[in-house]
Amino acid sequence: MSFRDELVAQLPRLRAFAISLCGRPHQADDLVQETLMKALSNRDKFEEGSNIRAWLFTILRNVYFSHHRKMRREVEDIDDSISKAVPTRPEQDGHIEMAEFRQALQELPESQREALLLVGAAGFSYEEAAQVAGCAVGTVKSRVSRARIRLAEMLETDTADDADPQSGERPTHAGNLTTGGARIG
Amino acid sequence: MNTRKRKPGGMKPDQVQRKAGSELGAPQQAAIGAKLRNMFDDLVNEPVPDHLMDLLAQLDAAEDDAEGPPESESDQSPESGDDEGQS
Repeated sequence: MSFRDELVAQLPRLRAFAISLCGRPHQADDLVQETLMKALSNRDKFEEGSNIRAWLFTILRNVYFSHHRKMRREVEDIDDSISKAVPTRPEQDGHIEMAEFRQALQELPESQREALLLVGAAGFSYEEAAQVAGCAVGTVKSRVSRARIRLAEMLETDTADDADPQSGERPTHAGNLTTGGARIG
Repeated sequence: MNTRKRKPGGMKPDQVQRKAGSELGAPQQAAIGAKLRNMFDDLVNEPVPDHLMDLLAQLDAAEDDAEGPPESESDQSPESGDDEGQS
């Protein structure tokens, strides 16, 4: 597999990570573009046979945290928002639920969102995620854990009036979590 | 649940370790995990925009061609214009 073929193969996941990290599909494509250019100009630094996905994700998150996150804060672009994105499988159930989820994800602190995406979505191990994010493994674990809890709180609040569509066995200790997040209440 | 002392929100350092007891319950964790993967898989399955594929083809062709700086895009045909997006 040539270097370019490897890049092409990773492109969909890389782009999915970019979109869900920055929350803006159009900006995410710029981010991916910059990542690809960096990857190509640094290809001599890539060790053959090592984890190209981790390498690419690292470049992308570095580009994002050094540059693009400012744009995210400064430019309010309501047309370019993941929460408005059209689901690719319109037949799927729970559009609204998914939109709420995307929204909630974007409200997480960036470092928590990053960790959660790396481990929970992109399928990296905690160790790989720590390498990508440039932090300790324990830090990744704690970020992921807090991200999950925070998401649960936000979604709980959003859907408090709705019946739980999925399971009858709603965890009884959920109330604790809400008090844990106190600020909302 | 003695770890609840700390203030929520705010500027907590990331290194704060949670005790296992304050983790989410398994069903809740599973539900969030499933939603996250659904969302991500939807994005992965979206077609990659042509301009990204084109960029890759152009830059790579230029690099293979000469080690020097790429000239203007010569009329090399991109090797693969297909956007199957294998994952």
